[in-house]
Amino acid sequence: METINLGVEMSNKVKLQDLIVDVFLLEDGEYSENLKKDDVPNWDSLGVVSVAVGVQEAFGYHMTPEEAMSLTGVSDIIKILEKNGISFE
Amino acid sequence: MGFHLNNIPLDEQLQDVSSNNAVIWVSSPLMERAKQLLPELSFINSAETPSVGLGTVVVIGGGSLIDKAKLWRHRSSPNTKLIAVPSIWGSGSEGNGIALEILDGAKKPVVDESLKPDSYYYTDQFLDITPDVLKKRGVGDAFSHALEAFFSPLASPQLRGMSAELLKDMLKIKGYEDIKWFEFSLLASQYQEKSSVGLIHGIAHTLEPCTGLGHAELCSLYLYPVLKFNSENSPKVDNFFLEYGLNKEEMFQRTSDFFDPKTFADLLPKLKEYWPLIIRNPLSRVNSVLVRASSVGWFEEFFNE
Repeated sequence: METINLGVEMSNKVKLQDLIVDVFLLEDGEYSENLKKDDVPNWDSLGVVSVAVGVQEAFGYHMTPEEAMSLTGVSDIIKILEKNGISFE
Repeated sequence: MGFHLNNIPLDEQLQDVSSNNAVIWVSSPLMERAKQLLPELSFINSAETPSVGLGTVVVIGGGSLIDKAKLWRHRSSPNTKLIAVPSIWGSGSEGNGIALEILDGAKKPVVDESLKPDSYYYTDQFLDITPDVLKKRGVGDAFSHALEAFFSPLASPQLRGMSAELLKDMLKIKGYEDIKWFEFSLLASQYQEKSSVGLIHGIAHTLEPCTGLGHAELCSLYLYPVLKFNSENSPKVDNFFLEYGLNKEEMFQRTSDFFDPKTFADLLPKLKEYWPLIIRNPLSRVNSVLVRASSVGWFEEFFNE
């Protein structure tokens, strides 16, 4: 059981990392789950749209405009997805 | 704001324009015809610039010249009345508050409500001297505006519904001669102004300065591949087609009519070279499907298929 859970956990973490790296065109080593919006020049109003589009594609969850606008960093995306049953534990 | 899809002869539509304080700013290939149609008025060609402070400027030409006139009025002569007469459909520039200009080698949109011309008139009196290929590309441009507005992540359900109805009307017209394309182009441009465009325009705006190809040609060329890319990379494309009653197969068939495999192949090296700029283009960033650094591989595969 533990091995299976680890697989799911890694999959969602990697999916989110791939997504954020692609949306904001990050360089190697720039991504972390503590990454803040203010640290990413491309996380502007267009970036908000890209994140919402990408989250829907990668995780099947459609963020509300309020959720997308309220994001302050990667950790907020994780919180919203976990609240909607997508595990990062 | 005037809206005249009545195809009244141009001299009647412009009968209130006086030669004393007005000039006709006309695209050079249309100059002779324009002088025949409006023999009483004064003309300048597209390479010239009107005098600041003129009462009225009537601009006759395609989207690029209309954009140039909009920017000139906006920046240099804001009290001049601007009347737009598009010679060909596609951009819808005559009725929106967007103008495109090339800055530092990149095509960029300027958005301001005051850019909109005061009036616009439609006529078929330039169509017989307009090459068929330009008419077809103009329709491709209009399809790209309408489809990108329809799929835009920024479109409201109401706007998406209006775009869907427009697309259904556009599919009913099979040829590239009908004056209704003016009206459809205008609506498509106004819908994308209220939502966004996407990857088709991100590619076109990036490649225009470095290839020398026109906006409508590039939008027509990438219309079908990008629609396929979006469809294969997100279920939302098929879902929206279904939800709004659009026939997916018919749309794919129609948009493939604008695709030119040879030009696509010729431009593939440029597409790959400029892909890092394309994915950074603001228009690509609001595409209906996420455009990734690796997505250029899909376009290579598409060509190889």
